Amino acid sequence: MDTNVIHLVPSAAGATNAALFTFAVYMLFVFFLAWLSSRVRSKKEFVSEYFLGSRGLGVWAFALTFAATNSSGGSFMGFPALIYTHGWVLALWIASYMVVPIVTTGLMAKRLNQVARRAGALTVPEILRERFGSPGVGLIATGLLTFFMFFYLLAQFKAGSNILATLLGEIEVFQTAVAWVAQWQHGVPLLGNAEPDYLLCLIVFSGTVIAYTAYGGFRAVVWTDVMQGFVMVIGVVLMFVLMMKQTGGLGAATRAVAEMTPPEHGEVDLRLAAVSDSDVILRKGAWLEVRDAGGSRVTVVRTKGLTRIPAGEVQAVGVPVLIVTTPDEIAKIEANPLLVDTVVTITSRQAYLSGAGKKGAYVSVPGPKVDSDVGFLSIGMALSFFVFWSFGGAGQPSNMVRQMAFKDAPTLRRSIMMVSVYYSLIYFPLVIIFCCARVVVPGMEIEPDRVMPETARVLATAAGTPWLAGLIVAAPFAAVMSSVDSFLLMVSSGLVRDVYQRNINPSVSENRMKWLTYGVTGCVGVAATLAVLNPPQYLQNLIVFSTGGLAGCFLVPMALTLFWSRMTRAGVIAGMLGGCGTHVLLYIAGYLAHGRFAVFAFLGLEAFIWDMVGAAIFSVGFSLTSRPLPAALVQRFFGREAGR
Amino acid sequence: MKSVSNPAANDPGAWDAVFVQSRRELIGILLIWLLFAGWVLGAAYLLAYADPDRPVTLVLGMPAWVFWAVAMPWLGANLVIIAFCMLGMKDQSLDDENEPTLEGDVANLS
Repeated sequence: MDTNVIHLVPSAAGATNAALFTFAVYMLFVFFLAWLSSRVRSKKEFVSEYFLGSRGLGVWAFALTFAATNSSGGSFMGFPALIYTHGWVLALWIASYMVVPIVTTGLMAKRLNQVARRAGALTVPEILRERFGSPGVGLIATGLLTFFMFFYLLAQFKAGSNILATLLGEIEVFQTAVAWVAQWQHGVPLLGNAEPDYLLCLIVFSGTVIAYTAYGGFRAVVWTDVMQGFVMVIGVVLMFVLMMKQTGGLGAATRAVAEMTPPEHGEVDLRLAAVSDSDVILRKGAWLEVRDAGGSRVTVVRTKGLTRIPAGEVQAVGVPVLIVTTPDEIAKIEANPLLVDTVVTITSRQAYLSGAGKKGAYVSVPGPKVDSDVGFLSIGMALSFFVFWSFGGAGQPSNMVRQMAFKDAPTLRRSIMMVSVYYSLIYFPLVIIFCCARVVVPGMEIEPDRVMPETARVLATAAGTPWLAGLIVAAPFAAVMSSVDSFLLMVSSGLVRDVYQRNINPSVSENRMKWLTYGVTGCVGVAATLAVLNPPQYLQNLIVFSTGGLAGCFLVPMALTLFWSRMTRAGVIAGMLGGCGTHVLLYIAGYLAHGRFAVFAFLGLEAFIWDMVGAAIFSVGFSLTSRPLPAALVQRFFGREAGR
Repeated sequence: MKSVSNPAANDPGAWDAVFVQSRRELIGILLIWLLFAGWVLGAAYLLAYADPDRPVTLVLGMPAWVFWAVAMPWLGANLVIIAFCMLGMKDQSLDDENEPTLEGDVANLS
């Protein structure tokens, strides 16, 4: 095909095979850990071991499985994109992570672990069922958990596939495989409309995660989390060192960033000097020079997509571009040499609604934003995020199930200290790295989600060690994998343990449970894969919807379950449904107000805060107006001699 | 009348010790959260939001408001968390503590 086209600018520097090699080694190690955990499991009772690792997590395992599960793909793809786009204000946006380890892990963990032991519970719904002596409470909890978690699984499956496609995108072997998939999928029902690169990555990603999660169970998930935790922190530390070396230190980089003004989005017309008898192709991400009538450089622009000028025509109109506005960058950025004489003319430009033309926009508040005149982060939203990151995390059932699994109280204390230091090595350095990235990789606003792998490639290449890029870019993939496996296991444990074993067939044999568990974990994974073959719109909103919904349903009811002896069955059911109802109502209001799937920020605050208020009012109100629990049940969980 | 929801109604010492200590720790953790929420948001407001157009000065290479409103409290939070874990949290029996650890399982494999 390329023999009949002329490339207007030379091809971009190709990626090395380092990422592919790293990925292959990484996958082998994941399967090795699943095999190792299955060897441990063969010596233990199946259900307790498969779903909770026999409550034997030590410090390293508990700390890193918690840290890795909470760092999803967003931490390494979406978060760097936000830092790059909005600047230093992201330090305030993420500041709550300084107390996330102690709030999310310490708030309820010791008590939750104790109650789970007394109840003999392996899952979150099982704790509620035993605490209130009510199968109905357990079933409602299972229903809410499965509902919200499945949405989250869908979003993470898509995110994992996208990250993989981004990491491997320019590798030749990968492109060959994509071409093969494109031929193979043609005419296959359900697959016909999927992008071939996305489809290939989805199959690889979901196949791997389903296989090692189903085969290895909780212990395999925890062990891979530990490995993924190390990969993440090593990746960040390496990037930090290389970035400081490349930019001449943080002070020099920040001073350069302070001089920058936000770019503009716009369109250009490309006019060739002569008609070509071949198609002329201009690749995505090419830097073009815009000159005035006297031939002096006015600015530089970067193309947002691939442009084709058909044979026999001389121009392309309305080509979307990013227009640089910072004088220093305009002077320094090297435009790609044009292989055919071409005139570039800007025909439209759209400035940021907040921060346009303002020096210092990237080092001050509220941060520049293209589509909002109040900027990126108001002080009210900063408060909302400070609440959300801490307490939203505490309300996630995936964290609760880990808090049921640690070995003893000293393990908890040491793990909180370890996670505090770990998060300090990850999140604040990420802010520094990607603020500085504005200096070394300009123009990434055309595709902000690629800023992480692109920065890794540029830094490693400049350091003369391109193989390092492979190690660094494994971090986001590790992050998303460690989240997906945990959520997959949560859904399958809810269905197998809480619904089937506890309500349908309590005397089920261990062997039957084993195969049922493998089957359900596999089926849930396959169902999620099929559901995202053609991913729905507003996927990022689905993530926010599901994580906020889970925290809204479970945080307040679980806290009251553990710490308030007057809590009743009616109270916990009303609390869970009240939190869920508030959450759904705010989304319905958001749909009516905005005409799309979005949340309604009542009084400018995150929906999660109102969910907590709703859950608290319903929990307390219904508990105080309903009959208290039997004394024996309260004594079992609150009394001194209980459970012995 | 004896309350069925309060084991300590007739005997103040009847509450489970882990429950009582966990509740104390919960209150301590909420106070830590409040302390740092106040520091971060208060400093950010005073140093940045109150006058967004003031010239940005640098401390250790980062904007001064980031240094005082995020970096310093982050360091402080680490120290307070470590102190709280070492001094404010108690090691108590959670039952069934003698089960094997993951680290032990790995050692047993070899």
